[in-house]
Amino acid sequence: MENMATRTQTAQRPNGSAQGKICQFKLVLLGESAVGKSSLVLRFVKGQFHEYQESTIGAAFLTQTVCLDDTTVKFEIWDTAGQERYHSLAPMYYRGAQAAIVVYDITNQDTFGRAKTWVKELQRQASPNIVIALAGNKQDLANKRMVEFEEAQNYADENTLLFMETSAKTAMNVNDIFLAIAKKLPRNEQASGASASGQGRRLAEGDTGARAAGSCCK
Amino acid sequence: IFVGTWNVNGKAPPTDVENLKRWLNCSDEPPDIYAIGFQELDLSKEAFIFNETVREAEWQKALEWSTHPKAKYRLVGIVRLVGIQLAVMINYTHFEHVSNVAVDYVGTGILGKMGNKGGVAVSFQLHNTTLCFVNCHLAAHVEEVERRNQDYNDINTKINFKRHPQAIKDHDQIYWLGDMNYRIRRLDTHEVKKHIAMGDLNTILCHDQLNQEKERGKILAGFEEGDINFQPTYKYDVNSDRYDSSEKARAPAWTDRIFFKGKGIYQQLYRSFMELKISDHKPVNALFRSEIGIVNREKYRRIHEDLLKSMDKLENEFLPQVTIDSTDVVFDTVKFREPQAKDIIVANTGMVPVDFKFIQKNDEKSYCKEWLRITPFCGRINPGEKSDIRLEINLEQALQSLDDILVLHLEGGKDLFITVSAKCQRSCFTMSVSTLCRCPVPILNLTPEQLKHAENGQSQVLYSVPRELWLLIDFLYRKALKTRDLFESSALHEEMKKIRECLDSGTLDQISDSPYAVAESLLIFLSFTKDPVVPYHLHKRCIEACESFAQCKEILEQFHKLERNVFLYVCMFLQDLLKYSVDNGLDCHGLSIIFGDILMRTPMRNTPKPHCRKKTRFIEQFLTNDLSDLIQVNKQ
Ligand SMILES: Nc1nc2c(ncn2[C@@H]2O[C@H](COP(=O)(O)OP(=O)(O)O)[C@@H](O)[C@H]2O)c(=O)[nH]1
Ligand SMILES: [Mg+2]
Repeated sequence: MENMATRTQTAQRPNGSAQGKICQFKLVLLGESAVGKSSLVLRFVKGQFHEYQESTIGAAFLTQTVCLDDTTVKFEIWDTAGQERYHSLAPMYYRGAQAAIVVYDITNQDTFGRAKTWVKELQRQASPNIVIALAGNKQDLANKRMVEFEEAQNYADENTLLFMETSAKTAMNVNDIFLAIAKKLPRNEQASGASASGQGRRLAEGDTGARAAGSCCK
Repeated sequence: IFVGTWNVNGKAPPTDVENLKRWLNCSDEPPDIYAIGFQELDLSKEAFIFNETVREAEWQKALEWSTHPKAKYRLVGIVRLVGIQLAVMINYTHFEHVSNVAVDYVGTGILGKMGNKGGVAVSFQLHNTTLCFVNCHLAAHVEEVERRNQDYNDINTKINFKRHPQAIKDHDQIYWLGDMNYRIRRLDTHEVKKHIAMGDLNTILCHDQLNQEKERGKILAGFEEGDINFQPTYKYDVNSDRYDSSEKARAPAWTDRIFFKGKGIYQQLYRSFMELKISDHKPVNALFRSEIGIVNREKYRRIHEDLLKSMDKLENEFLPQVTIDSTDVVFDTVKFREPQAKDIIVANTGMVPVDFKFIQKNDEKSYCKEWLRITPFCGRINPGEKSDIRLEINLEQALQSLDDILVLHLEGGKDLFITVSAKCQRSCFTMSVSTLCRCPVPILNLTPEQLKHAENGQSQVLYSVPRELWLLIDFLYRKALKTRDLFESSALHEEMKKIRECLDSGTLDQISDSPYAVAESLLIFLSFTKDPVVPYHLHKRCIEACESFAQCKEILEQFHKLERNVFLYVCMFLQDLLKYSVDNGLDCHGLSIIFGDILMRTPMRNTPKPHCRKKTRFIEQFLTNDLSDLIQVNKQ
């Protein structure tokens, strides 16, 4: 299916532009429960926020596409349950993921500690070139802040993580963090501009498997 | 768009390009595109056979010098088949909007390649409009109308750019030019010349084969042509404006034509150009105002993004969705071999049918632990419908508690976690012989401390065989020596349950009323001891030794003392039972089969049972030979 879509797009793209390029990535959200993982996804995907967000028991799945200058990046988002009892299941979701957002709650120091252990686990167990972003959520509650911005920023720098403080409630930095990830993800070389031979590479039949996440195709 | 066609009769370009310039400059404003087609560019043998010519470069240079002075041009594409050449040039300011350039040619002469007839084509995309230019040279001679029709159709259908758009007809705009070679029918040379002299072109045009064939629908379907207001362009005496004065005196004809097809094409000029006299044809050209679709980047981007958003929305809305009435299933205290079941209800709350399936976690072998059964473990639920899934537990191991997390996967969607948990009640069944022999009181009355010491072998051995085993066998000694079909008829679950409770808690003096239930309990007891009574590591040797009692006895010495006791105790009891075989109908071989399978069970449940016959034989040795010397040793 995806193959077909990509192909059609190539054929119909306006000349000289490379917007036919679609990259698909698997992204997983990790972090202690109630830090706002599901809320971030809901804000990003549907532009909504619920004060009483149902807690996730399982791994929720949604997709969302973002457009960069020259590419369309499609995220397959896995929002995992944060409770400790489900910890052993997390590898099922971060394995094979190209990106992860590790979330903590800036009003709760423990969740920051937990986030650090998640980062460590990802660095050890996940794919070596996974793009990790750290999100200090509930920025709207900065008056009850327990984790200093600088502390988190320094930690992120040391571990070469993307870092932003976010608020699913006010939408602050929510799109931005996903966009920043999209930009940092490896993509194929840019399509050459207009030229006599500027034709899209044709995909061989079955070139990209269904849901073969992370593969870029023009 | 300037479109020109000229049969140059094999001539080199004129050294003085002044007239060429005048031909190519027919408007104040420079054309955006030049498409110039030549025929008979080179009539030499080399060109004919090897498709090589110096003329191509010569003419191309001449063209480059002669294009409109107010603009610079770049070549989009050039293609040539023998003498049929087509060059497309574009004002260089538009060049960056050109893409997808391709050329192709079709020969209609011998072998489709040699020969000087056929067509060539250049295709490209300018902004968002696809354009195709075709230059052809069709078969000559007045009478070859059918041949020309066929040539035209061959070119029209066989040109293939091997990408999208593929065929000529697939383009937004098509410009067809060339030496079509159609002549004037049923008017002789004299008459034609007379009408021309009178300026009456219409009469001649009525007899134009091309117009007639087009009208008959044989060629150029859907193509348009501007009004012809110029006199026939063929055949002239070279370097003159005089029609063929040779003996053949061919009738003049409009062999050189330009057609167009597509949306937004407006012809502004259609003319011949008399001043270029080097050939026996006069060049013809047309000028078009053509609408080119330009993509509004901003708008395109917005629409593109909106489209993707609505696709995301649709995709997410159509993801499989279910709710489960309970994601945390807690069972009552689980007892040995007392199955419990609970149902969970999965409701499809989404818009699409859901295919669900329990999936393995990480590296685990199965989607659930061995004490759990899920029915069904996969299936389909339609929107608005519900499905019951039964979780059934049956404990046959020594476990303190049961815990599992099930992952219910929805095909193409999310996963749901369901936790299953239960506390277990311990039982003398599933304990090791060593533990049981160290228990001072029934198993449920043990303090955790006592249990711990018994389990790790720290406390003293209090009995030579487990008290529970003794109770079972003692009952059978007292009540069942003469009972028929003792190990063959199964007992009621309730009876069995009562016996287990009794053994575990020590509440009753009399463990049962039913010899059958006690006999079956004995089998179960021996089947579920933590380890097989005959130590697994000795099974191979037992099997090898099974034909010799002496050797069997030697192996027996390798047993742990308590297992050895249990083994001999059971065998002795069976020997005693066999003494009453007249009454109870038991036979040695039958008992050996049953007890061989149990006492020498393999650690893995539900696996094929190898060497059954030899295990039977091993037991048989101990049921048929005198065990008294072994027991003597035992008693010491
Ligand atoms: N004030 C505030 N509350 C938030 C924010 N994000 C989530 N919440 C709330 O925090 C609770 C837990 O959020 P949820 O998304 O379920 O967390 P998860 O367990 O990590 O998925 C919910 O009551 C949300 O409404 C935020 O940015 N600001
Ligand atoms: Mg959640």
